[in-house]
Amino acid sequence: MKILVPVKQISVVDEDFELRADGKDVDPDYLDTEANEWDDYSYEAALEIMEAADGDVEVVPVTVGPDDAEDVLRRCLAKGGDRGIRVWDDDLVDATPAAIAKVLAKVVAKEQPDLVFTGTLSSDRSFAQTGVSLAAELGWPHVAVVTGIDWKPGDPKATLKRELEGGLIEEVSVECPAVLTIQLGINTPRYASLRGVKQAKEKPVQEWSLADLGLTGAELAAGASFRVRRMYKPETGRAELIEGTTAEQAARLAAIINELRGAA
Amino acid sequence: MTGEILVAVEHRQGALSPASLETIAAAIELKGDTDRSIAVAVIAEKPDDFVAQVSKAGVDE
Amino acid sequence: MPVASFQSDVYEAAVLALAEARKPAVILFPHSVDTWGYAPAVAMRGGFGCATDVIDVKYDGGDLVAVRAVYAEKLHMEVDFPERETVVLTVRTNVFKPTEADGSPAVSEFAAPQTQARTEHITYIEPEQTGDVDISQAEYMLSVGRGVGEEENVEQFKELADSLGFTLGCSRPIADNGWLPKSRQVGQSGKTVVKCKVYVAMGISGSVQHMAGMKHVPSIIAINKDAEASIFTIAKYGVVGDMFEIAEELRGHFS
Repeated sequence: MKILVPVKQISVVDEDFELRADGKDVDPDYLDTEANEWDDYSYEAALEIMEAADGDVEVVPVTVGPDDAEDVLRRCLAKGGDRGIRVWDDDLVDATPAAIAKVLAKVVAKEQPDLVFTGTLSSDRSFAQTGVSLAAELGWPHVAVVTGIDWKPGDPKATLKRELEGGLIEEVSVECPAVLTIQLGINTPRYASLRGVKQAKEKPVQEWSLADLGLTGAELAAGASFRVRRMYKPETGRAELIEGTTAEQAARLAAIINELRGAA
Repeated sequence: MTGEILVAVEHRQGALSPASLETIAAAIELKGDTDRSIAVAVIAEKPDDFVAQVSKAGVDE
Repeated sequence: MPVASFQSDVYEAAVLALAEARKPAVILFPHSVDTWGYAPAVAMRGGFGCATDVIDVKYDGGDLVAVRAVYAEKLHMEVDFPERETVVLTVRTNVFKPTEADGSPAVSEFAAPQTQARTEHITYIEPEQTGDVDISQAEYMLSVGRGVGEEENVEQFKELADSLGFTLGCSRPIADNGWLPKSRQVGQSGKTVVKCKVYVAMGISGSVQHMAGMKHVPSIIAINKDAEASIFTIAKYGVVGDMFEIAEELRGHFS
């Protein structure tokens, strides 16, 4: 039994930044990288099932990203799992969610997992699209925004909780194999131990190109979700900033609060 | 005439979601002065109750 | 076919069949939890263009152009869909004003195709009513976010809120950690504070999901260490600074 967990290295924009020469993204010099917060939860969910199954489940993290995206795989492997997969090709630089889903579908075809756990969304571009697109590409059932999983190896169905608007929860069952998109709060992600971090460095990471997966850049470009015309800094509102020492700021805040609630 | 604007609305526990009416508003704004028509689709076992709720000015079908 | 509640296979098949029959230029969905669970699949299966969480959409000449926010709302991204006959767009909530005026459109029935449903609704679980306050009715609120740091720090903000006569709320991470009950969570998966007049946000950077529950409040006061935090784009008043130091000073004014 196997759970495949696609994880992503996300980009965070510096306070001051410049756009790329083509104006279609931020200049990479002004981007820092981080692990996507949602993926901590999806990986934890997979590890919990693995541990409960006592050796009967393998958890494999996979990422689509350049060389330095290996960090997010090592970060996962420091917590558990024995190997990772990284897919990259220069044709994937501006890949849309549909393209990433097609790549992941090929990885699923090779790996034959019983379940795939993605994050509900990634915090840099917030499409909330890749997991469900992957399921569609595979023809698999899928459930999005999952906050509870009851499944053990061999179960033909998983019983899930989905988080809806306003705190409402829906309980659903899904036939396996399936793709689940995992929401924050489903568990409390663990921290890696120092020993785990050290061990992770020795764990194998398979590297695949598009060609290894039988895909071409042209094929993916033809199936792009969209084409970026430009990026720009939006005009936004701006709070009236209260300056001064902390004492002065607090005094002004207190006066504002008193005025707003109509107190004397 | 070019393709229409189709709006897929949603409902839960017997109620149309408030976001559905916002999405119809987006369709009306997108339509603007084009000659496109707007169709709203309710996917339900008994859609009748929802049909009245989504029958808004500017919606064609 | 019974569709009492959302079922992704049935919804996907129905919209795909409609799209096949009508060849729409655009299919608009609300950007909601149910839609997250099927609109991308409709686009993928239909070979349609797709952009999610769209905040603006227009025709530029003959080209459909959609705008969405990226990089924690710091930038906007304008996209188009060359050579796509049909495009799926999911529209962010609380951006377009709901249509009020009634009309009388033609009504036609369309039989949804027979589809095998591979997920099954079991039940709904209503949010816990812990006998705690109903924050959706509160007029004055003080909410804490990730900046509060540790569980034992929450209490002092509860006391501060009490001394102001404000109701204590929080953002998602605080409820997820169990530091405050879920019933205190403001935002898309928590409560919308519909009655709120004054909202003091301390250590809340302002995710889209949080702001969905409170950005309508007429007077928002934000205190955050990060001058670039999104919350300052919707706040009326802001303090860039340490929430603990500000709280310490504020206490003196309301004791």
